[in-house]
Amino acid sequence: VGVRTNLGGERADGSFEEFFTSAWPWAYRLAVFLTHDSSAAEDLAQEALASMSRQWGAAERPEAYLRRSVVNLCWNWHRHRRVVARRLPLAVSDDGYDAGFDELADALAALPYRQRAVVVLRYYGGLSEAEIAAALGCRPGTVKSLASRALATLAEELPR
Amino acid sequence: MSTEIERRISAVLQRQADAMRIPSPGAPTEVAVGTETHDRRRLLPALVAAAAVIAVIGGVVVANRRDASPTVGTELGPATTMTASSTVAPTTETTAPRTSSTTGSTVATSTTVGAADPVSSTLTVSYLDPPVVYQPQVEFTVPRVGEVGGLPRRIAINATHVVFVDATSSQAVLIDRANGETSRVTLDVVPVDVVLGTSNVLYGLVVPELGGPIEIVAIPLDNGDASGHVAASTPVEPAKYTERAEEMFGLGADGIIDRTDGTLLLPYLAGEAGPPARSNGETWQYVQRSYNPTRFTTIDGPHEWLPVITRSPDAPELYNGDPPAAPSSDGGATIWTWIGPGLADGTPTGQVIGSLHPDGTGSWIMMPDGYGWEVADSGPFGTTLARTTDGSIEFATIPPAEPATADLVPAAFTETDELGDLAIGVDRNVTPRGPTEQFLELMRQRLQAQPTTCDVPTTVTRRDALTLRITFGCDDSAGGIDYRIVAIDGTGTFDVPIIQRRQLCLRAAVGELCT
Repeated sequence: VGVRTNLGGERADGSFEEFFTSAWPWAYRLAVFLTHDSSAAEDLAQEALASMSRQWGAAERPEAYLRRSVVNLCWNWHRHRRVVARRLPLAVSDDGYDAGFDELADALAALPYRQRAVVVLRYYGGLSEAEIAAALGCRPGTVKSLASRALATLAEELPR
Repeated sequence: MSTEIERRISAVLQRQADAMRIPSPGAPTEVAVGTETHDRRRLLPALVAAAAVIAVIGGVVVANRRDASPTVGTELGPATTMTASSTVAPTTETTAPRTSSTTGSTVATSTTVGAADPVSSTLTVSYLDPPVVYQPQVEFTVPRVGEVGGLPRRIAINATHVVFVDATSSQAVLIDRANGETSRVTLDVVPVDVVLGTSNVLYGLVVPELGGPIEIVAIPLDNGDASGHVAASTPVEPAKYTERAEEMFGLGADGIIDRTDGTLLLPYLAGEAGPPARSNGETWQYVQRSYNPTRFTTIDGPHEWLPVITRSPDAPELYNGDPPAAPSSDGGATIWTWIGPGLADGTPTGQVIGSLHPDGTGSWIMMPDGYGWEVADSGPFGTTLARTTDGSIEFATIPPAEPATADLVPAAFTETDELGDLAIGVDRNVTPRGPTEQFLELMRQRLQAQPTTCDVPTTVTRRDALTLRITFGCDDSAGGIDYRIVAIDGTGTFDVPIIQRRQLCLRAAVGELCT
C-alpha cells in the first residue's frame, strides 16, 4: 500500500538544486492534497522549499523536514482562510487537475485536516507511522488514532 | 475490509496525483530593492540559483576576480525578504553568504569591493519569517534589591565584570563574571545608560530630576575609599541626550563616546584604558548614518551593512529609535531591534539581534518572546542578556566574535497560534502570573464560549524551539460543548505560563498537566 517514492526519496547528494528538482513535484502534490487549491499549493510548496534553501545542509533528513514544512504551511493556510473543517469541496482547478467525484474521493477531501494528512502521507506517500508522526509533529500513537478514525469514516463512504 | 479500503484509497490518491499538472516553479526573479513585498513564485528560481552558487563556492571566499560572477551578488537572498543589489565594480571580490543552520532567516549577501567603495551588504530580517530563536543559558543570578526598570540602561559589562545599577538603593552591584560573586558600592549619584570601563570605572549619564545640567560622570567601583564617588564629570548637550536610544554610549579608544557619531564625551580616568585593540586594526566605533537604522558603516569605511527590517504592522514605533550598533571583538558589530507586534502597553516584542560579521556578511537570531530576555549591553566584551524574575535578575551572554547558535526550527512558525481567532489574548504584563492551571482553565472557558462545534480543531501549537502542543478534546455528547485537555506534548519542562505574540502559550510542567 502506498508508493514510497511518491513523497520524496532520500536526498540524492548535497546539492539543494538537485533536491529541489526531485522534491518539487511531490511537495506540490502533497500541498494540493492538503489544500485542494492548486494555486495555494504552488505557493506553499515553494515557501517550504524556500525555507529549506536558507538552511540547506542543516537538516539531517531534508525530505522529512520538507514534509513537515508543507504540512505545517498547509495547516496555516487553512487557518488563515478561516476554513472551518468540514466538507471542503473537492478542487477542480482550471489547470487540468480534476480530482474526480467518486464518493471515496469526496470522503477523503472531507476528512479533518490531520486525518487527511495522515491518509495522504500513508497511502500516497507510503510513509511509516514514525515518519508521519514527525511530519505532523505528534506521537506515533496519535497517528494510529487519526488513521483509525479516518479509515472508519472512509469505510462508511465506501460503496458497498 | 480494511485492506480493501486502503487499496482503494491508494488508487484514488494515485489517480488524483497523476491528474495533477506540475507547474514550473516560476518566472525569473524580479525582486526590487527597497520593496517589502514579493511574489514567492518568482523567488524560487533565485533560491535555486543561490543554492547552486552556495554549493559551488561552499562558503569560501572567492577571490578570483575574473571568475566571480556578478549574478552571485545580485540574486542571493532569503525567501521572505529582499535581496541585495550591489554594483559590481571592475575589481570585484565576492564573499559567499553564510549558510549555517544557526543563522536563521538571514543574510544575504553580496559584497562588492571597488577601489574606494565600502563593502555593502543587506541584512534582512522579517517578522513574517523570523530568524531562529536563541535559547539563553542563565550564567548567574543576582538578587535584586528593589524595583527595576529599563534594564538595558542600568547594566554594563567589561571583560571581567557585569555591573547593575540599582536605583532603589543607590548602589552599583558589581558581579564577577568568573564566579558570580557580587559586591555592592553605594553611589553618590545614580547614572543611567551606563558603561563599564576596563578597570571597573562606571560611566553614565546623570539626569537631575529637578532640572540642572545633564552630565556624564565617572565613578570608580573598586578603588578603595574613592569607590562610589564621582571622580570626573562633564556636562552634555541636553537637546541631544534628554531623549536618547538605549546603549547610546560606548567605550572608545580614549574615553566614553557617543556611538551614533563618535563624539568623545568624557576621557577615561587616569589608569583606565580603552578596550584592547582589535586584531584587524579597526576602531571601536560604528556610525549609524540614519537614526532610523538603515545603514551602518565602520567609521573608516571598509564595510557597510544595510539592515532591511520588516516589522509587524502592529509593531510600536520606538520613541527613541533603535540602539546604535555596538562594536564586537571580531571586528564586526552587533545591532538589535524589535520586529513583533506591540503589547497593549506599547512594549515591543520579538527582539532580534543582528551580528555584522567582519567579512561584510551578517546574521540574525531572535530572543524567545515571553521569557523576558533582552539585550542589556553589547560591546567588545560580548552581548549580555538580562531578565528579571521574582526577586532576582538573571544574566546570560552571547559570546563575542561568533554568531549565536540555536536549534534548527522546521518551517517558519506562524504569526498566530494554530488556534487562530480562538486564541486567547493576554497581556504579558499580567502580574503576578497565575498558575498554569488557571490559564488552562481560562483557555477552556474561552473555547467553550466560542460559537463553534466540536469539528473545529482544538490544538494549540507553537513551532519554535520550545514547541508545545496542547490538545483539547471536544465533547458535545451532553448537548453542550465541553473542552478537556487530552494531551500535552512538550520538549521541555516549564513552570510558568508565557505569552507569545499576544497569544497565549503555555509553559507547563508537562508531567503534571498530563495527569
